Amino acid sequence: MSHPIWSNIFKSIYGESQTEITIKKIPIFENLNRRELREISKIVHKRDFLEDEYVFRNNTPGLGMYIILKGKIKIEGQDGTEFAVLENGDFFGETALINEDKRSANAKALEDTQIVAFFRSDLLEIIRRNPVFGTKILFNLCKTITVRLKKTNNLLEQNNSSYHESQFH
Amino acid sequence: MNRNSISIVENLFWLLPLALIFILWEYVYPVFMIIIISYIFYAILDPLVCRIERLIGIRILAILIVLSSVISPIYYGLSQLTSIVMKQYDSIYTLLVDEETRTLDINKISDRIENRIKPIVPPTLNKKVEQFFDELKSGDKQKSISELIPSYFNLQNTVYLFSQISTLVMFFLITVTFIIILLANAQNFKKSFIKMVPNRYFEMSLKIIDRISSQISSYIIGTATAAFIVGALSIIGLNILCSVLDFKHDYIIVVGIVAGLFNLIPFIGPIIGGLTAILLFLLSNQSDIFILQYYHILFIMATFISVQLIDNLISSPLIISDSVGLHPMFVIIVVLIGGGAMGIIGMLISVPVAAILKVIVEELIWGFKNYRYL
Repeated sequence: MSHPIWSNIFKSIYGESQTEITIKKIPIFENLNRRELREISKIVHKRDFLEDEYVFRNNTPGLGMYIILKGKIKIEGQDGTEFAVLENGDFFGETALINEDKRSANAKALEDTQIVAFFRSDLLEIIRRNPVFGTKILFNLCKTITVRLKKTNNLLEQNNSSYHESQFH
Repeated sequence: MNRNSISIVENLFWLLPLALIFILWEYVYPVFMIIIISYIFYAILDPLVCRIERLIGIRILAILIVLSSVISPIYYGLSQLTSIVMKQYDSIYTLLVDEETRTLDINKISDRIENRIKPIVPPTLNKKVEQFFDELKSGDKQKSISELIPSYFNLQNTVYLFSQISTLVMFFLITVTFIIILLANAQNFKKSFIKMVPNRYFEMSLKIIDRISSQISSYIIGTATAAFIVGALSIIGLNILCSVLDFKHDYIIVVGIVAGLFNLIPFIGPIIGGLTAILLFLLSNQSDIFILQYYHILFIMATFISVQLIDNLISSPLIISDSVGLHPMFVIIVVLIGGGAMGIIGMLISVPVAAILKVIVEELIWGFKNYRYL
């Protein structure tokens, strides 16, 4: 069973694929059962990006979220200012699942990177076909966005208080 | 291989299947037709399958339930309708076709219509009517009109009929299989297609495909519903007219089907539907007591105008998406091209095909602009 072909076959029948293992750690796909996870891994788009290749560019319509399976992605502003560097298991662009607004930053591969894309049209298709399953994802998405909002609020509060302190002194 | 070479190879890769399609068009064409028909049925049935899938949770079971519940009544309805249509067709055949030469018998048709029209036309115009029908019967025109249709009236040839039926059965079976595959795997087809698109155009292609498929689906469902409503209203309207005015129209079902089908062609289609109704009414076998009056024809015209008013003011605005609007001039040009290339079938499918192409081009332009490739 050490042969890669056999191990791959049995992995796909009995075990979880790399995509499933990664996506079940993403908060948006929390609490999904095995069947639902398998369904998601069938729907998502797996893509390979070469070093310095753009995943998406600033000011283009947002379609959905990306999950990094392998590699590094740099989130940068229009002028190249680095906002964040994301690695294996990180995800980005999740607000585009709800909102069709234009992207506010570039996403660029820092090395050869494998990512999984989950788009709004896929989410809508799930909701259309299986509303209970779709609601689970939507609920998780709301939770994730709420957590991010709280973090942003905290940051804003910290910044405000330090600004006031500096003004006071 | 450097980045530029990879990019060139990825982009040129599209040319290969396109070139193959062009070269093998003669063989690819029937498959294309099956795919288009299957897609039309897929677009109509998919919402129904999703609704049932929501209740039972298993898609393939939902597909089987929908197909069996849709196909059996359609099959029953079609078999009933076919016998009526075949009877009406046979009757039209004996009226229009010369048995010996199996071509349109212009003399017979002209005599019949002339005799019916003469009493209702003002006496001053009688000479003009006679002159018109004499010209119609004269050699040249008779030949040209006869050449238009003879192949459609060859159905009485048994071998030809048998081969046509077996081709039709094969066509039907393949189409049903394609519909099942599309209903079960449409998402996978999209995914496989997207997989071939280079990273650079990946998001844009997905967005364009989604926008195109949603617009085309709503257009197909809307157009099919509108055509069905027009056909049904024409049949109901003519039946009411016959019972109120106490006259006979032997070909109401055929007229309804023609009106529904030709409704696919804006502007010209309704006129063709109305003219067919009037022409077949003039050829109908009326009772001896019945005397044709000009208002009978006016009432048939009024029925078709009413059907069109209902279609244009009520049903179409409610069910057909506005985004697929075509300019009247463009419609006429497209219908002429379709008619020139593929005859009546070309005229029927030209407008929906043009509408679909318009959506594709518009969405491509939208995509290229928004993703800054233009």
